[in-house]
Amino acid sequence: MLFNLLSQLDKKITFNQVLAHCDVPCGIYDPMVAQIAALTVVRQVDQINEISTKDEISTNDKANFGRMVAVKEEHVKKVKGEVIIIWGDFIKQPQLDSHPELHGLVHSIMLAGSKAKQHVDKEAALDLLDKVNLFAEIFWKIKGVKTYRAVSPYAPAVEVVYPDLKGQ
Amino acid sequence: MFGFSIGRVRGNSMLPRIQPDSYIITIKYPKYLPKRTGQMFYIDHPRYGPIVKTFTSNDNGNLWFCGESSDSISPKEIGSISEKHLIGLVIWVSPPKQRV
Repeated sequence: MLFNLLSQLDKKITFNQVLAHCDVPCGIYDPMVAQIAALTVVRQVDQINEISTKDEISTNDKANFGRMVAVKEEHVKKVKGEVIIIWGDFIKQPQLDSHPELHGLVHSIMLAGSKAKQHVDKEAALDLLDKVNLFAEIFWKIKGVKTYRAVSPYAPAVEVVYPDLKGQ
Repeated sequence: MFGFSIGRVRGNSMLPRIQPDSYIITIKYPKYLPKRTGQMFYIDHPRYGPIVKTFTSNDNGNLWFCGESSDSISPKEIGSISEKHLIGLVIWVSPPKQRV
């Protein structure tokens, strides 16, 4: 009875909406942020290696070296954070049932991220990107969106999984 | 009016105590009265806007809250809340009619 009364009043004077929300329910999930972060890790490794091969290293090179290492590490953290958010918030039991490899894949991304963070190692950075690409493929499959692989149109010019949104 | 506020609740984070679409009636809560763990407050959150959460503790004037459901944002994300952001104490929850 009280609910009916309040409901009628609400129609007349519109009460404030009070949020008892979960995680600011924007519903926006996209693995592209993780993919771009993984690409950045690869790119930073390339740039760090370029400096390492110079005969003479200037003060600017030294400063850039520090920045590149910091950016690489920051973007590994971003990869891990973005993947964890999708894994923890978007992936639910039905998706785990249809893609039982997800737990293992996410764990392997965490390990690959740590390796890419600890070392200046192109193979480790590419391995991280590969795994994040696999994760993206599964994500888009869950969303019912087809994907394709293409070389990123910018350095480090490596293969990335993109959603084929034109078919939607 | 008279310190009362009425709001309609959106979201699941206060389940099972507050169902989505419930109406809540709140009353302005005097600052000098101690708050008890488990009391629900209507808060004007500086980041999230109007929210309803459960009081957990008072750390030297920094008030801490949590949601009731496991899906809720964490107390860390809610952050400490000052008295000035409390709109009122939830004194009545009117749940929506059950649809059969």
